Amino acid sequence: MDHTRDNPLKRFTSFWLALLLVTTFAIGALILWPLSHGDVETVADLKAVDRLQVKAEVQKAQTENLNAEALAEALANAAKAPSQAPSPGSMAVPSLAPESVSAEDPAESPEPNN
Amino acid sequence: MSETPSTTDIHDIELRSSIDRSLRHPVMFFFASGSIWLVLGILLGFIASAKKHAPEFLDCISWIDAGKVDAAHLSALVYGWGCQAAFGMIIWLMARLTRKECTASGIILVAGHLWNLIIMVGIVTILAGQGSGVTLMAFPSYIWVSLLVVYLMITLWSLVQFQVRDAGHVYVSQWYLLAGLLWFPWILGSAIFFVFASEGHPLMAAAVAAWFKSGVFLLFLLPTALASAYYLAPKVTGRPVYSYNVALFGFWALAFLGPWAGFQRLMGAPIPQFLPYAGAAAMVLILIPALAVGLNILKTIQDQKELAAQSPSLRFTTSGIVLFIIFGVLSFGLNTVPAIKMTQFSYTGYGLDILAIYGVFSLCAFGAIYFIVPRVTRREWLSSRFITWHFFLSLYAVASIVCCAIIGGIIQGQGMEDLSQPFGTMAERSSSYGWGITIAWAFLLVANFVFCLHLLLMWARLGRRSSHPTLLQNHHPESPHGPEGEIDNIGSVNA
Repeated sequence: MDHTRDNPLKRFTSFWLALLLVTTFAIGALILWPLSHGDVETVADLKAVDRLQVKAEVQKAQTENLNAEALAEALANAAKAPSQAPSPGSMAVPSLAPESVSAEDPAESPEPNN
Repeated sequence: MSETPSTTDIHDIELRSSIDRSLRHPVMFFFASGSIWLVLGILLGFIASAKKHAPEFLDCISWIDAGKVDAAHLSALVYGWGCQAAFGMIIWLMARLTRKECTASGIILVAGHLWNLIIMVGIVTILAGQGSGVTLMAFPSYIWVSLLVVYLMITLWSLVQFQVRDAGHVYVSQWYLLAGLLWFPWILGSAIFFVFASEGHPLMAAAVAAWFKSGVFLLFLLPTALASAYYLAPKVTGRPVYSYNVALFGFWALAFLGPWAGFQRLMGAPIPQFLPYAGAAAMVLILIPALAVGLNILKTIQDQKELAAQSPSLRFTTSGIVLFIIFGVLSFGLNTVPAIKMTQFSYTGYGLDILAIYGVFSLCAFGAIYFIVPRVTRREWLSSRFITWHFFLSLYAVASIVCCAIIGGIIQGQGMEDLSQPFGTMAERSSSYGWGITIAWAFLLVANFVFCLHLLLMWARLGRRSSHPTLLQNHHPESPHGPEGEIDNIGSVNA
């Protein structure tokens, strides 16, 4: 054994050097993290003021143009209308054939599992 | 053979024997537990592959749904088998090359147990549906930091050994070992930071995960495999490495290109466009280190073809290196922009991954294991027939998987690009290739079950008590593994 290169002190320092070497990236990342995540203004942040202003204008215009009375009347009429109003192009459902299985009164059908 | 060994020789044999003794338990633990994970990973690969073309296969068990089993399969293969085989190779090769006994085998063994425990928790979490969903980083985020810490517990001692080595030549194998040792914490630390800890854009997290996936092979598993090849080829043939300059060139080519690769998997995604193109260019240029290393290793063993056929270590290692050249050629062809466009969402990428992990890394690792295990257990392999089965079944299966995945992937890609056909036609066209991959996984399962059994018997020290190595052809004039009787001689010296 070459004692100038291999001794407990050399092994001890080598251990810490190796640990330092393999964690260099992690240490670098920890140092750079606050620098890269301080007061960074992203594009989204920069556009946020304009975007919120547009949003407020749209909401204001919508509120002003909303006719609440007409809406309430339309809703009331909609509630009165039949639930399945015929739409253009719809066809009437053909009636069931007399004495078919589907036409039987459920009350007259045999009980299940009998 | 009958010459009396000199005092220097006896001292040398004693030193090597003491190094092997100091690493017996950790090395055998890593190899044996790695081989069990390999069998498990292949079993999961078989199920995952079957589910791709027959989704109803085992659909009654929710734990092995297609998404979960695929992630568990790759994780078991890379972290259970790949990393542990690499750890065993690294600690043994570094100790032998620096000629230093390991003084921390207890810590390494404890860390090995911890590594297995963490991987087991990770795999169970994936199967329970709690995985992260990131490719090859499918374990939950809290697993990764502990894996990194355990990695340091295992490998720091090899760096210390390198630092306190006797003054003299640094072998080619040591370059690769040292590089792999330092690159892995870098890529893993970066991936943990940017994928799980950073508040960056999720798309960039996906890009970093793709880079990490590529880096695990190119910057950790591959350097370890090449370190083993550069150790075994000269050692078994008794000849120096063919060209030191080519070795140097191959190393720096890999060091330069490896870190760029990976982003090409996100070609077309809204990330900075230079990244996928740089990744594709790096993967195309990987052919350069593949040719440099391949030429160097194959030239080293060129005149020893009979030896390569006889020695299990050399046969597996040579096959791994030939497959590395094939990997370079396929990488060259499949990472051009038109090829990526066609094959990006097909079987092809999977085929290249399996070629890298099993074809290149694992075959070189098997070569190292067949060389190292008899030295640390002081027993010879029980059966040359088992080794032969392992070799041919592995080679057949990996070739089938790669061919089916690449051809099937190209057909899949053509089907996806053909907008005149319904999407189902593409699935029908590639289904038969999916069957081929599944059947190949079954062959691989048999091959590695035999290997695992053989290795566990060796771990139990049930190998042959002989100083004659187990060769694949018995009519050999002399041993390719150096002077015979070395193990017995040292036994008598110590006695």
